Amino acid sequence: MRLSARAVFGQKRVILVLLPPVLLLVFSIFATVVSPFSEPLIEPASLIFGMGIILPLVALLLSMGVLGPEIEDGSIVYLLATPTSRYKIALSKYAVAAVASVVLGAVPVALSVLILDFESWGVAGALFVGATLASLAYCGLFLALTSLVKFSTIAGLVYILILETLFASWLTGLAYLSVGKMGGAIAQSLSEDVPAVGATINTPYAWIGVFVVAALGVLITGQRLSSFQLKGDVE
Amino acid sequence: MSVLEIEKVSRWYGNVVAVNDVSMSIGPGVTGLLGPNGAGKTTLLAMMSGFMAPSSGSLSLDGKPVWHNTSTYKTLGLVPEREISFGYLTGRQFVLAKAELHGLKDAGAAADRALAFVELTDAANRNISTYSKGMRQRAKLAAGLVHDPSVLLLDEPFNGVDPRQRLHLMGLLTRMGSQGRTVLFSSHILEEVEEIARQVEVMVAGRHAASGDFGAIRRLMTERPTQYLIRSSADRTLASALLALTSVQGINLEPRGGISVQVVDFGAFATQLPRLAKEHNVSLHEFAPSDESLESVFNYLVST
Repeated sequence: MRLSARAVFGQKRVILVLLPPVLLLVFSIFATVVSPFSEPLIEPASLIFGMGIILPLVALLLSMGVLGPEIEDGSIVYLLATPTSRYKIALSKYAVAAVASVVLGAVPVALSVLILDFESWGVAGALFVGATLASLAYCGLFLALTSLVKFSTIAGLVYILILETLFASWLTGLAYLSVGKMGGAIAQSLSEDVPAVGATINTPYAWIGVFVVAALGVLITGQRLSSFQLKGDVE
Repeated sequence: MSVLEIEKVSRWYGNVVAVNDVSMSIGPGVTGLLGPNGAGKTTLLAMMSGFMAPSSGSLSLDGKPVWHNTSTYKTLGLVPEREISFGYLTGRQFVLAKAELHGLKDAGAAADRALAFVELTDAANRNISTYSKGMRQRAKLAAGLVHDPSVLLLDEPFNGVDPRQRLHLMGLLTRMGSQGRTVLFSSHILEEVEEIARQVEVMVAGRHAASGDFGAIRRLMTERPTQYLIRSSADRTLASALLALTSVQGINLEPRGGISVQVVDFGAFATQLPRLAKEHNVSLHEFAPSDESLESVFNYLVST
């Protein structure tokens, strides 16, 4: 577990992960300065940009960071050549990615609300809870994706950009597959002031959904790790 | 004491067969897995260490299957060919992490013991990225044996290591072998294997070509018929005369001139050739071995 933490923060890659949250905060500060007070800013900035793009992006970068390179160059065998349970390894990778995503994804989303409107503690709190739970699900999803497919970056981006931001916003059916929508629904259930964006899904489903996605993600990752095959000299 | 049992194991990738019906039994002591690059050594080692499922056949360690069996790693240590990508860790952190993953009671002491065994104690607190190739190899070895395994598998441990460090590594392997551990290492270099392995398993083109102590393998290799290319003033005359010799097994007329001769007994042939040439008034222009490469030595082993 300490090893995976170092894998994320010990290297230059950390700059890439820090970029999106910083961008969100800078964007929020900039928006408060240039826009008139009456304009509703929380919806476009914190919700669509923050929850919709920045949060999943951070989770994607972190989940891939803890597992992707090690699978790619085969050095995961150093972790796997031990009697440690594969699910335990998957869980520790997941824990590092999830905690980091909450700090670098959910916290900035809440902060951006406060920057835009210092009075909206309720909205900020609700969004923080929604974003935190969404991060937990995102990390499970992207970790499983990393262990399943070779081009997990592309697969992850396709999920975020096409399914989440494009289709799930307007098609109710697909919205049920969107982790972002689950986070949004949870936030709305906690504070009535959180605006709804596009299609919405039902609240109990969202609460259960995030945990199911997270748990399934870790299970699939553990399953994949226990069947990990080292590439031989014949490709 | 542990025995690694490999029974009729094959592994293919799509249409390519990497390992073809291999059976062997690896017991205590140092065993060398010898073969040219691409012979399937890495694939076989991956299967032995449970990091690849055999397409057919079975591999077991002390009677228990290796694939999908995490508890194997309690008795098995692996030193992969792959470079350590944890360059941002110190040697000690790397070995310690490994010890902790093994769930050892006193991980710190185990890590120190392993580092002392590979004589890396002085450099243990430096980042792995500053290590030389030989030191990295030793760090990998320390990580592989930190849990005191009775079986240690090493993939090309001497590759790219300078001669002094290589000697050091060889000493370590020999010591582990004499402790009663089952040590298996792969190599494509004959001399390396000869140096330390008592038992040799030869792999060529995915098949298990030969098995035995080194003397037997060496004899197979040196007594094999060798090819020589001869250029002379009258190739056909010389060829017909050479056919009479018992030391010659076959002759080919080369399309680009010259003849290639298969010789079984080089000592006799060396004295007979000049005499024969003189008798038939043929002058020799060139006489050279045409297949001294290791590859051909291996190929010969496969055909026997």
